[in-house]
Amino acid sequence: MTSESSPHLEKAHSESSSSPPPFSGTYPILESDIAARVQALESILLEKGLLSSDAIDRVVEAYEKDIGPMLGARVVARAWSDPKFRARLLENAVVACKEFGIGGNQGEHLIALENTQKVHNVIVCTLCSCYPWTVLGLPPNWYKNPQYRSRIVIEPRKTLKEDFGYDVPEEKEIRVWDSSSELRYFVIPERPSGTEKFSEAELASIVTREAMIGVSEVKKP
Amino acid sequence: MLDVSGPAAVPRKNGELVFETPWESRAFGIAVALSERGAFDWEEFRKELISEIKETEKGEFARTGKWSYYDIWTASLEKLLIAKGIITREEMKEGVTQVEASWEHDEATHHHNES
Repeated sequence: MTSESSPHLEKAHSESSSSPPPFSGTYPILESDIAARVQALESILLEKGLLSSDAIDRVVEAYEKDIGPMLGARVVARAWSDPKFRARLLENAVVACKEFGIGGNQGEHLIALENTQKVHNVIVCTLCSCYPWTVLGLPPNWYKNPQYRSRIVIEPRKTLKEDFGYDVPEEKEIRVWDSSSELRYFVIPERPSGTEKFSEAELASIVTREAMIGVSEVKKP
Repeated sequence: MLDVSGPAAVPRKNGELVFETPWESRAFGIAVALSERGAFDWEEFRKELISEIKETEKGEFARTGKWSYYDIWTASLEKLLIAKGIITREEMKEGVTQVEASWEHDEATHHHNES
């Protein structure tokens, strides 16, 4: 791929609303401002009684306020503190996460991947953007970009080093997990040293989203 | 209980936006809410998304390097809803015309009130 690797790809996204998508044959999409299209879509669905504004508001608010990586961080913190919980989490993450009031999404299996001294896990969705919403919220832009989605599978070690500044030790095997509708993964990073006396809440506060995706580790505080 | 406002806080607390524009949040909310109400299976939407992504990667992205995820999301949603007969192209066309007219009206009124 000859496209430039640029962090500004993400910024270009919000300014693109004025340029219509390319039109092709049977493409039903109108060449008009996308904000107008979304507003029109909402109006039509409201008029047909298929949705209420409230219903849409609730979904948006959930992902803006309540559902995000702080949930996953608490799960990780408990896995670090409590070996029995860790075992339950590895056995069945959906059930284990319910202990935190984290609901499952219909038809989705959530799988926790344990990083060890020998194995480093990292997640991706090569085809689109499948991501463990229930514990991490919505994915960051880079996760959805074509670059990450293809590179992490082809050359994971190099990608982690060059794009994320994370030098995975040579002796560790890197496993890349491709997500799908049915299978959502998240990573239990290794617990850094120097945290032996930390409470669960303190542990949760050092777990980053990037570590739970697997593009970095949790640094020693 | 410590307030977890550190690295793994809800993105907005970190200064990062979950949605960069209001229309993105609506497009997201519409798709999820409709699926929750059984208008379509999430897998159907995902299939549409995958094909839209492939097309964009070969097309606009290959040409310009521009990647607009929620444009792709919205296009997928529209395509799916039209394919399932939940909305029609004509309704969308009419709806957009109405929305744009109402925006123009709002602007005109706003300027009038200021003068």
